[in-house]
Amino acid sequence: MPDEDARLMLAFQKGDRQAFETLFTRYTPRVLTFLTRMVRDHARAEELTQDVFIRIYNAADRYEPRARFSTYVFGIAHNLALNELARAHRKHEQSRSDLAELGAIDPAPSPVEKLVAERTRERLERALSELPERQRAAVLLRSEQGLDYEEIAGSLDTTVASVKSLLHRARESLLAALAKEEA
Amino acid sequence: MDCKRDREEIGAFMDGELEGAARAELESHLSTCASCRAEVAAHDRLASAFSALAPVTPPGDFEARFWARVAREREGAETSWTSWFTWRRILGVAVATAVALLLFMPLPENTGTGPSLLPTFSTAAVKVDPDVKIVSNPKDFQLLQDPDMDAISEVDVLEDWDDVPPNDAPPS
Repeated sequence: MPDEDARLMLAFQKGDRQAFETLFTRYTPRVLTFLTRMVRDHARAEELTQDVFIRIYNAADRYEPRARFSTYVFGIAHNLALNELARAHRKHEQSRSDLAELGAIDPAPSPVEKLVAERTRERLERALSELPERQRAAVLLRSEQGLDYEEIAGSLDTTVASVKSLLHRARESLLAALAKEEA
Repeated sequence: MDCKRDREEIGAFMDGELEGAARAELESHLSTCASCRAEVAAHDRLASAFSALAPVTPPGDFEARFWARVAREREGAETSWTSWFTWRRILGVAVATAVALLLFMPLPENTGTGPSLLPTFSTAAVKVDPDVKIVSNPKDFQLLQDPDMDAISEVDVLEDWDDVPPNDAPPS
């Protein structure tokens, strides 16, 4: 039984453009957030997000709801992120200054807690950026995007057991990094 | 109970991915293990840190840019399709013209001094079965320029030709 988003995609497959627009609006911020944290380059993440939806749009005829729609979307996003990271690695373009791009992220809503939240955010982003790519993808998909283990496994093309292990290692590293910075 | 294993499962427990007996077992363990309770607290802190990460908001023109790109790519695809049709038509006309020229252009008479326009065969690549009688019109045969080919088949052809009664001979 396809989930609601998969049904929207099937509706788009039959020509309902409004259905695609709904999916676009629903998923764009999530995919953009995920890709920004993965590639650590806001402008590039925007382009990649467009690429994700272009692929979905162009492949609509071939879409089959084999898994949840989020698995499909984040699977594409993850593959594009890995390609981008590999390309950037080859060109030696990665730079810690990319983190500054994340300044485009919305500030914490509460003015009182803004400073604390900002410091926590910076620490976590730095710690995230140092994780291996698959661990980073797994923990972002779980802790930020709220995907369940099966969805993450589908997106990363791996098993649920592997997701469990990836998440454990990622969290251990993040906790260690945060504790180190706090010390 | 192995606490290391529990730690790996604590994440699953916190994520709501641990069910049934495994969940009950871990809950029971947590009530007696301070180390694992500390791990749960650490996971809570990490979850709070993640909640401090604000989602990245797409710029206002993001959707408009997307549809503009869709239109551009579609237009590009149509242009290349149209272009393919144009080139195919040009190619078709060129091929038809070439075929027409070949069909209607008179072949230059063979003077015997230059190479023939007709294909010739090399004996190096062709094995001739001596039992096979080659029957051919001698007039056509003369057009073959390859001397080796002539040598191989001339005798058979002439012998066959000798067997053919002349046109003006009375039927036997």
